[in-house]
Amino acid sequence: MKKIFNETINEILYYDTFENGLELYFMPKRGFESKYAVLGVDFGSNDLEFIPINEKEKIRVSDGIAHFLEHKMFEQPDESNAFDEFSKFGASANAFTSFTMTAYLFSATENFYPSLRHLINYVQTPYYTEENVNKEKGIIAQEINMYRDDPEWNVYMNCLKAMYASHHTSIDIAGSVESINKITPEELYKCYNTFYNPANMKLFVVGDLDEDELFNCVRENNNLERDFEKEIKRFMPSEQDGINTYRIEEKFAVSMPLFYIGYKDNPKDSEKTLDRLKKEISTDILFDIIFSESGDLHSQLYDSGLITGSIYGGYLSQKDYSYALASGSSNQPDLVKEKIDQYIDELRRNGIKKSDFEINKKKKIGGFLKSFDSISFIANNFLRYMFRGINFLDYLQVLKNIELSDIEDRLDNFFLKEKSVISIVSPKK
Amino acid sequence: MTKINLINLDKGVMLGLIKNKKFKSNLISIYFERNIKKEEATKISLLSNLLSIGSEKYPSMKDISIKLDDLYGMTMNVGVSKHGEKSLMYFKFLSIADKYVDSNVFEDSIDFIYDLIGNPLIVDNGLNPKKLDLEKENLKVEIESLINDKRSYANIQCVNNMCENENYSVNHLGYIEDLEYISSEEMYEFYLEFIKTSKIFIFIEGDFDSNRVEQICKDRFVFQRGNIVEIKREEYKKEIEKIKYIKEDMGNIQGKLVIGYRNNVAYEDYCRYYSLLVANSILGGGPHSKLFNNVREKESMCYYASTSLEKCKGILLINSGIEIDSYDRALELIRKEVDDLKTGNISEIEIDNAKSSIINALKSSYDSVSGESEFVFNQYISGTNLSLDEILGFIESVDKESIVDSVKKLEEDTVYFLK
Repeated sequence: MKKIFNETINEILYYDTFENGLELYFMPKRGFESKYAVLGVDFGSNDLEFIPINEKEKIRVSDGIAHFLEHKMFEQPDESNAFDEFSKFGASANAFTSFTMTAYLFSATENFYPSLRHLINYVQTPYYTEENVNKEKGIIAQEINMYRDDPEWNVYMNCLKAMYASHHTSIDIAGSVESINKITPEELYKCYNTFYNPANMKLFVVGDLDEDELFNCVRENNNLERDFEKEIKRFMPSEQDGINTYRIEEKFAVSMPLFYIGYKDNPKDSEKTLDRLKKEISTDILFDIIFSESGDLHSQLYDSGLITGSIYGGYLSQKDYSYALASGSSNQPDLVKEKIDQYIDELRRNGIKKSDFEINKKKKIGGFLKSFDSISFIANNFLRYMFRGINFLDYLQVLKNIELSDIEDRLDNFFLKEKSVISIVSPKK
Repeated sequence: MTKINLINLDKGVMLGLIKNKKFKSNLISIYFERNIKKEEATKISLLSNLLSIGSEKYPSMKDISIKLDDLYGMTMNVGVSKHGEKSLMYFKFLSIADKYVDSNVFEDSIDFIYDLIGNPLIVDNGLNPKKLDLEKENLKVEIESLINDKRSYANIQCVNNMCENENYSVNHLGYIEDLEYISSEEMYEFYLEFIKTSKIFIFIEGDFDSNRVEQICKDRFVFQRGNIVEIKREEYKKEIEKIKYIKEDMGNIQGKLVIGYRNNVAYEDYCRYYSLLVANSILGGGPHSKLFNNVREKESMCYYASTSLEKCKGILLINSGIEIDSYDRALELIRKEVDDLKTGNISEIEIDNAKSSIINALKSSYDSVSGESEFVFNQYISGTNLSLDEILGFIESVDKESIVDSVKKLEEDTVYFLK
């Protein structure tokens, strides 16, 4: 068991890798009532093309399979549901699938260890039959339909579709009703056997616990032995540098148009992870300098009645893709986009004020520190960054070292008009 | 559990200090409480928007935002909400505890917050007249945008139809038709009256020096006081003669079914109320519930089917997203689960699971910096003032008999379907 103590944020991180490749991280939170554990798998909705374990040929699986698998993980061979056991322990359990990972989690104030053993155990117990797979299709179809009625989700997904021509991140996490109807138990087992491999999974625990007891419990309970020496071969269709289409508009039952503006970036694999982190934080600070309520752009748009609230968003960086999103509502979204383009051009000509940079950096430092009050935020974010090879504890130091020139550098190379798109959801007449 | 220190600052002004070393943030919440009234709702809502975009010292939204960013990104959340038939205007500020940034963020924050509430931007006896039209337009947009989220829209519509002539159906965001005639002078007059007569609660939670904070609050939070409004208890009992059926068509792919019940239970009747809370959890409080297991999992009918309980008004809502064609079947299945609850078709496991789930949620809520102050505030405005341990005690003692007793007067009032 290794240990890192970060003095500035006054937090400790314990970690270790077990023989079968599973990594465990633990952050003690003294005085907290609940303990939170999340088991993450490096398998998200983007992972649609890969060579299954012990096979030679690449396959393309059905859209939405990682999410379908997440739902089916709860079904147990004795026909019980994994939720039942958690309910018995008084734990609150859940799971989610993102574009890049699947996570199974619970929080509990009592019965932490039985719950943790159950978490590790049920995620290692796949049980897919023709019957239980078909039954799940009805539930997931309703989940997909719920999102199809949600204007916020559609304006977001359309923005990704506008940016990306081939990358799988433009495909809905849950897939479509048509694609999930094609899913079979065999397909699910192929995904499970390939990705649900301890060397491809990480466990993060937060709470008021004894580290030795925790590490012993996990050591004794993760029995899965797999062919973990082999690296999983994943494929992604090659994506063009430029955008797919400049503008997408769709009609919905909304009161006024909602918009998402997307800026596509092209991350390079060769960049070191800490450089990527620095780039991510710099771009995020730049985003705030441009779009936040303390900047000139927001005042211009708000005072002229062009937007009704804030512009939300930020920069997202993943292994093989990254972008920034800015969203809001306006009766003239195209004009908003025009004004934003003009403003960014002016900013490039006039330069960023040192005071704007300082104040936005200060804001980011405060925000980062405050986020350590939420145990679910800690666990989910550590996992997200760990899968990208970044220790989230390094975040604050990288943030503190960022200088105005880093932000200026990003302004020269990003938020480019030719790599930006707009997605609009407008009211049905 | 921490000890809360309640201090009477002035007539109708209560300060609650909750010291908690485990957090890095400090939360400062200020609530203004009144009886909800249709004729006041729009003004209160507009007032909360106007106060948050300009004050004497920070005249524009940009000035306010710069100040917030300079306080290490203090976040500000100002708005209105409804608690039973009480109207609340709230100001919530989350800042970093001084010791993490070696700076005097707390005291500076209090000055800033008092300036927003106590020294608003007044020009020629009007409240921020330059921004009034813009804020009216923004409020109109906010009220209209309730239709964007179909699930919550369906819930609101069910309740509004159900409580048609009751104060509970007042929209706390206000009414578009009332906006036109409000002048900035009227808003200023209303502001003065509002501050003078509303009950005020201030809660501060986090890691701070209690004596110092108490002194700062005594010095700074000085409001003019008049005759404080008396808060009325909600009517919570109603006999139903005929079930209302309402359908609305919006061209959705998925139908949203909401069923509103009157539970006829007073929250002051602790044993019965906490039995009802357990009953609500058994019915639709999560993956352990009857609706989740029997309607979602066994019938593969929906993605969500859950329930919620309105403590003060005595309403229980069931809501679910279903195939539009499954309306009749879903209604039949849901009603069967309610009947099972009433006839005592409940297992000991269901009761234990529901109790553990509630206890876990209650205890966990103390792990967020807003959790304890919200808990205490909710107790306080309902006038119950129970401690967490007392509530846990009531929940532990719930049994099948008390559950059945608590739901015997549960009556279906309105069935609302949005498609």
